[in-house]
Amino acid sequence: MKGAASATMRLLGSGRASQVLSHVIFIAICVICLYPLALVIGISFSDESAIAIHGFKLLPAKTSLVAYGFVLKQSDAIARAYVITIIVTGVGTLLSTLVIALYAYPLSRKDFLQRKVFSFIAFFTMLFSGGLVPWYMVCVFLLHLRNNIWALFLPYTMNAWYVLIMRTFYKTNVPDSIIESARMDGAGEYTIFFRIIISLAKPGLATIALFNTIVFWNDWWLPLMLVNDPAWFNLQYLMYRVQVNIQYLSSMAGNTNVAGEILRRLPSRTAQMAMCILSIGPIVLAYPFFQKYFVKGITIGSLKE
Amino acid sequence: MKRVILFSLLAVLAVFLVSCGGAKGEKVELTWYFIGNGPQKDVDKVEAAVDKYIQGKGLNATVKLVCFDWGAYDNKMQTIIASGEPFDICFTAVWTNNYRNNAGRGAFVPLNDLLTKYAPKTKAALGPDFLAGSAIDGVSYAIPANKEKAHNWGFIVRKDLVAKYTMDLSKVKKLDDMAPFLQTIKDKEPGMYPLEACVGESPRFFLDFDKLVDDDIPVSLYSDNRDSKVLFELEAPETVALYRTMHKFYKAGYVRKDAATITDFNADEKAGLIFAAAKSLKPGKDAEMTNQTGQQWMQIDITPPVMSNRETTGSMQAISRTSKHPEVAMQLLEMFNTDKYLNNLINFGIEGTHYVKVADNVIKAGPQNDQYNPQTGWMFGNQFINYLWSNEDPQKWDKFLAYNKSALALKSLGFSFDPTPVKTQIATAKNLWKEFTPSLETGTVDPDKVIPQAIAKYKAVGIDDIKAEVQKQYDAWLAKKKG
Repeated sequence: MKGAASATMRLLGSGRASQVLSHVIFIAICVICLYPLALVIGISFSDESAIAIHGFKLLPAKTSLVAYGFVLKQSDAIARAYVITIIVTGVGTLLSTLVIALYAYPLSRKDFLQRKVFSFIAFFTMLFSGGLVPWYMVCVFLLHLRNNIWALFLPYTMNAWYVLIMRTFYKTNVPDSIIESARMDGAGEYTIFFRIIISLAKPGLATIALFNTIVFWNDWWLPLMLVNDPAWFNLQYLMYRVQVNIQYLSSMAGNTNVAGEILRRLPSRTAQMAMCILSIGPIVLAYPFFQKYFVKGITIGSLKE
Repeated sequence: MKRVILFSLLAVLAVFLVSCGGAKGEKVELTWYFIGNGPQKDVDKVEAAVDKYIQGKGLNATVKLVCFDWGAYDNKMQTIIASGEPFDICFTAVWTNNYRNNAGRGAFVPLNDLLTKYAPKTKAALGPDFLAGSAIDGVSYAIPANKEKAHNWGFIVRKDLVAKYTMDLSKVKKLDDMAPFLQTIKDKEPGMYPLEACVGESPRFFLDFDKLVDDDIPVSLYSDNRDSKVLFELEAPETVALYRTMHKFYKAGYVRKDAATITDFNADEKAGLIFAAAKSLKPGKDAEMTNQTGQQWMQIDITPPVMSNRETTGSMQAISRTSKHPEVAMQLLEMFNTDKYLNNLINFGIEGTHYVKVADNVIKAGPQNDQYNPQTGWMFGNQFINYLWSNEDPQKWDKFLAYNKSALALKSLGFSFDPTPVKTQIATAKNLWKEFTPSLETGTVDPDKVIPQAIAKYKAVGIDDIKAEVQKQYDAWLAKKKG
């Protein structure tokens, strides 16, 4: 292994110089990516008035834990929101990946005669959507998705675009001959799907699952529209509220006596940054977890017929 | 296949019928949507107390108080109203859950008869001027909150520094008069910004034009009832004079150099970097700001108080077209506007828990204050029956009454402009506002160079069309009012 690596290195030319160069480039990219994050951390530990006087600084001119104190004061709300976000992300990702995988699979099978009709049904919703108000009416009046945990993931369970991606993935990565031979060995449809197709389609499913995880983790739209009860607020919505309220009230400041007064009582900029840091949490772990499937996905494509 | 479709249609219909049908003769549940800092933790306890009290007063109803966040309210209400979801009362204003649009598309119940029949005390307390100002073609679709009914503009100045340098501010009647004091601060308090000016919060407000379209469209009347001639603000000599003064101040270093890019004015005020700032005033504004910023302030009036459409439609409650019991909703509103106990219950929570009394009419925060503190006095009903916090001026409501009495009621009260004929011109003119106003209002640019450019650009996008259309509609409205 080591010999092969150094052989590759020699192939690339003057080994050391190019290695140093590539390291420098990647360190620079790394710094560019990490700088904003470091700045956020710096601001969250800064004193509020120090920001007003000195501006944003990587190393705060005057450190203060007031922001984290403010956040911890509402720790029960934040802890609850954290739990809700984790549950919604976990259950939502599993459920929506399953639904998408199950819908896309028959569409990829040539022996399923109605596949064009069902493809069209999914595809049609991408071109024409009912709009916000009918969507709201279906969610609230028909499905009673309001002030409950279902409201936080059910509307995102199905995604036509991911269905089309998965269909294509099955088509290109699952040869018909495998299904045929499985059937000859006496496997039923469920056995074929859950034991064979799923394991062949792992890279595709991991991609969809990662997309879903991010969507559920970052979602504030569903709580905004469907939840009034703070018991069901998720983490992103908790932060979104603070952010939007500040923006809104700032834009209103000249118009009413009220806005400025209320603005002053909302959490300060440092507190927003502190919340931001707390929200990064476990989601950073999702990337390394899914990454191994992506690497596999590159090699698994070369199937010998 | 057909049968399946028919069956599913029937099923959908059945679900709708079940969810729409309510039992009759029982207690009425009233849902009330309003704007604020979001849901309060102890709202259930307050609702229970409200229900008990109003039922004791013979109103067979329960109340559900639903507070949406500032940023979410408009969005949520638009969806709720468009979907036809049943509710009873909602907060509405010119600046959120747009009053005129909603009234125009029939979302709100006309209230004239209901007011006379069920809410005579509220009607009397508001007075005919104020009600007329919130009516659309003579029909009230919402009830304004009874609070300060006028606005005026002036300076908020650091009291401690005024004392330190023994300044005599009694002669300050306009922006220019402030110059020597700003110079003192500039010389003696290095590091401070003597005058606050940033985007959307600057002495520009001293012009106090009576805006007829939107705040960011410079087509207005003078707010002193001198005539009915609609003007383009940039062509008014007052505008040029004010921007010249601001430019002079900017060059003298009275405002921060990057003012035209700053939108957050709170930080500087809190950090004690500001000496003087232009604000919308009302009695007791200085004390309020002192509480909120931790700096000592005093206020100086510059413009006289006027009652404009801004106040009459700034904070109102409407009854929804989807309400099944509008008359009960109106009875609740009347009780709420006139009953001191009920009003303070919703605004401050439960005595002994969320607040404690220190004197007859004066309260301070109670042990559970953070569980219910909606800070909605300005929005709900009648401020004159609100309790006062112990750090507020005990004379606050008397001063409000005197202030309201002293205000000039503008002739444009009740006029609402229909923007449809000049929609595109308005949209492009709004972009020009963003382009020119921040640098002019902060004094960053020379008005003698920039104003002519701005006027030329405004003319090119049809500001004259907007002006002519406003004039036409305003004249027609005036003629109709007289005849």
